[in-house]
Amino acid sequence: MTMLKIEGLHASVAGNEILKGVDLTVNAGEIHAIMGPNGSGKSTLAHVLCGRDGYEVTQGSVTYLDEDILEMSPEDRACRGIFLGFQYPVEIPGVSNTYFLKAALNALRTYRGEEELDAVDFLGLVKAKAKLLQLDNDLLSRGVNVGFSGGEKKRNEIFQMAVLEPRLAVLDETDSGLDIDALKVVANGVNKLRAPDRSTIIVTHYQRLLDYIVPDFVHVLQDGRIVKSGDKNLAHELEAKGYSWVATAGNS
Amino acid sequence: MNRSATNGSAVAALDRFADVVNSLGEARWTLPAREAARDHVMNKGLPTPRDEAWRFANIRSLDPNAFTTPTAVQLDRGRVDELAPRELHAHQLVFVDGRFQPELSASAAVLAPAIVGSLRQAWQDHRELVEPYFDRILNYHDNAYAALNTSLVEDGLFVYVPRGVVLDRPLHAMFIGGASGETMSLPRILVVMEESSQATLLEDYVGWGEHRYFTNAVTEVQLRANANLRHVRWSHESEGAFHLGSLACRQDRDSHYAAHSFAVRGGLTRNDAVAELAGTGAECQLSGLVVAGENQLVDNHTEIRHLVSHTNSQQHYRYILDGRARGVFAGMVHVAPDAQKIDAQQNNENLLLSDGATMNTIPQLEIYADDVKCSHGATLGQLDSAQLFYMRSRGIDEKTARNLLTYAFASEIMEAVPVLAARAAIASMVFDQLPLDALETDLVREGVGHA
Ligand SMILES: Nc1ncnc2c1ncn2[C@@H]1O[C@H](COP(=O)(O)OP(=O)(O)OP(=O)(O)O)[C@@H](O)[C@H]1O
Ligand SMILES: [Mg+2]
Repeated sequence: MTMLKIEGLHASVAGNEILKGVDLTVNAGEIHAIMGPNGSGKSTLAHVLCGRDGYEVTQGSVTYLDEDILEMSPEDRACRGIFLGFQYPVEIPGVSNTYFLKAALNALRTYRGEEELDAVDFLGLVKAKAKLLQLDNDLLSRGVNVGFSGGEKKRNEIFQMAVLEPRLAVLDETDSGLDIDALKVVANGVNKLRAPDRSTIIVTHYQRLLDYIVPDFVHVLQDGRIVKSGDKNLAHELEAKGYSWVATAGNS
Repeated sequence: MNRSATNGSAVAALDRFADVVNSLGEARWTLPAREAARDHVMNKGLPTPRDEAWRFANIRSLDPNAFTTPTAVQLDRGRVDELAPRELHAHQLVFVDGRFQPELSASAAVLAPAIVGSLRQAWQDHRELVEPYFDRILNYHDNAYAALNTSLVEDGLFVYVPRGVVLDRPLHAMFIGGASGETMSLPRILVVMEESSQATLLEDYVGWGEHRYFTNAVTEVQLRANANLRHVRWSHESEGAFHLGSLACRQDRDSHYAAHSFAVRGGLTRNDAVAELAGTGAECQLSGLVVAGENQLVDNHTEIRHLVSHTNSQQHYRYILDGRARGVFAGMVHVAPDAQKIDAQQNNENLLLSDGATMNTIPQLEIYADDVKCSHGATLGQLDSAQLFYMRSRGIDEKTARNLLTYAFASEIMEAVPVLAARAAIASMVFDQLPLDALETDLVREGVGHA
């Protein structure tokens, strides 16, 4: 089953074309890693997939579970099972992490025609997932990401993912800045969700993450295009040789 | 000729002056203060938009001659109780159109040794406690409405907390307006806190019907050395009602005053707050939240007077304006010559939810000393697009996300309210004013804020 199909995708931000024809197919059950130099468009791609305002798609299509999603609002995409782990998670003072997550989970459940979770069940779920991500209870009652360290913010992203159980997770540099222990915790959270009917796209700069979350495919995004694809060994090659080697060897 | 009240001779309310004076009885000693206040109104007239301090307040629409004198009405106890916040566990003191209602209020005996009750009674029975403060704290020089209150006031609330006494429960003073038609009521509060005493006062203005009435309130507070007053003040007047509140607090050394003010409903609301830090170590915190929509106008004027060294003040006001609402915040910080080691902070943050809403922020600093830490900041903005996207990317629909962020903006001011039940009551008023529908009950129950 095809989870996501991106074809000839062009997108601009503030009048600058950033994505210049991206093609990518992700089947159910697969994990894809996207690597590439700074400013190559990785986060732009992630934001376009999730429907952020200000990112204008000028050409191409994005199909998710056989539906064209480009005209959908971010919340509709989320309700259908798309999740974005932010490279820079946003702080929201005055809205507690727990409240936020409950509002999100119940929005998804309502969309799926399920009953809203009551307070007791929700608390049980949150406790279990927080333990999985080794997240302090104290952080749960704080404002969303407010006063969180960099590592805590990243773990909070995966914690939210663990609670919301998306079909397609797009994780934008969730490993950046993590120490090795935190990296293992985050990887464990991602692996726990691995299932034949779920897929993950991981944006990363570091091959190290891929030792813990083993990808089915590795792609190189450069200057708004996927210029090379391979298996997990490509990540090792990139680590050893850098990106300039891809540009010269380019295969697309 | 039907002219509006732009000078004193046209203030019809003053026609009652003789009647009010004749009814004073043993409170006749208040006469000189009343006469001086009456003369002030007659000479200066009521403010007009040409007066700097009233420039934005659009008081043109407020013609005191359009309002009559309240008549005594009997209110049903059940309905009065319904207006009070749930589970407040406070000493309740009820005023209808400014008149104390002993049968609806806590008995004086319960509150001894503190003296809490009718100001009219106190004029008669406790002249020695009232006279040094009544009309001595608030200066009505550019606020003739306050002078109008002083000249004609017939009753109000008197609170006297003796030295070292700590009131176990908050005082909940509920001022019900508009009970007898389109009237002008003159609520008056005098609070005297002796050395090292402590109390919490909840001052609650609420509309009875849907009349266009006019609440013209004056509050005077004296804090003796080391006294501590927490003061929460909210107005939830009927739509189209006018609310003017003038507050003055004088603080002796090491006293602490925290005032939290909420203007949530009503037509025109204008609150003046003056805090005079007259003893070293005195500290005052003023915070406020305004939630206004449609054609509402809410105007807060504050003035902190640092008269001596080592005094601190903090002000934090937030406005949420929707529709064609207009907000004004004019905050003055005054530091007297040789008042050194002062820390004064002022913050005004504003959220405009519509294109038609406007905000005027006017910070003023008058600093005549050199060793002073004074900061002020004002921000004006819409909801943050990154925060909105973050919430929507998790499945929360746009409207709910907007409402949540708006509520979060308000919640920081509400979280500082010391009495939980009062905080909950204020939160639910804020909810009613914001279009929060579906989330409402959930939010009130659990709170969105930090635990
Ligand atoms: N709001 C914006 N306005 C203008 N240019 C933008 C905006 N957002 C991104 N860009 C530009 O788009 C390009 C791609 O940015 P993007 O964030 O997608 O890169 P990235 O591959 O995620 O980089 P990194 O590895 O540093 O995270 C950059 O040149 C960036 O400056
Ligand atoms: Mg990026």
